[in-house]
Amino acid sequence: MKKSHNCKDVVIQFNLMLDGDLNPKEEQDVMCELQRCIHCLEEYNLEEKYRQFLKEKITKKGVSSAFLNKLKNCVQEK
Amino acid sequence: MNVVSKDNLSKQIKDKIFNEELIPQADALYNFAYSLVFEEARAQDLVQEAYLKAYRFIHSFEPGSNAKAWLFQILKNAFINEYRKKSRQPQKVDFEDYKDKNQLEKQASSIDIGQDIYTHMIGDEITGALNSLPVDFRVAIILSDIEGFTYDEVAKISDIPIGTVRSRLFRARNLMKDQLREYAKEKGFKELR
Repeated sequence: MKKSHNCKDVVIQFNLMLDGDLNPKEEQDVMCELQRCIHCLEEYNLEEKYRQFLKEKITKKGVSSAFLNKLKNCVQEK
Repeated sequence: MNVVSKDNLSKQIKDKIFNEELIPQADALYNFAYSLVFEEARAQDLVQEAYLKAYRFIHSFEPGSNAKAWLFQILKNAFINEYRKKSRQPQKVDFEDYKDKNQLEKQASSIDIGQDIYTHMIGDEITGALNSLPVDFRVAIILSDIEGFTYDEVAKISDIPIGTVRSRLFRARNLMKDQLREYAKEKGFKELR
């Protein structure tokens, strides 16, 4: 018998899935649950979009070549 | 047979590991440091300290293993040491661990941001929202969502159990979304649901 759908559980599960914390069978179960509920599917799509957006838009800085050289020199001196 | 103890690596081998495996992580390491202290000079000091320590203990690094996670762990420890020195108090992590599933469920039901909000936000607003989070939550998001570390790696870097990583991330993401929602409201967006 198919277990009843619980949106709150599915939200928790698809977050674990997006984090790579589920095995393939568990992932398949989550995908089935997402197909059963349009609300959960919308939440899942939103979560995916949020994570992609975070990665793309967060401001990243890099170290200068001068700092890298200083770093290498410091190590050589030790 | 030529057996070289890992404790007695030649300078040439140490330098090779340092330049080929550790130095390429400098940008990511600097970004992590900056997100902890928000000052360029202090972030550079932390990065330098982490690299010096890494070089000193390079014999304990397995070439080809996860250099990035190793360096992040060293830097995080350097940050905690710096914090302890400044505050002269042991670092306290007071954030509640949301181990109770019912609490997780309560959090889960609060997620509700329309997709258009994301599209119209710029990097500075996102970074501002992230930087406004308490340090433990900020670190959880940076390590997992931005740097792509696994739960296991985040647990090792942060020195917390995996269950705490899960719960902290869940709470951190919801706090982050709350911050983004506030930014969106300030910009005149309306809740879509």
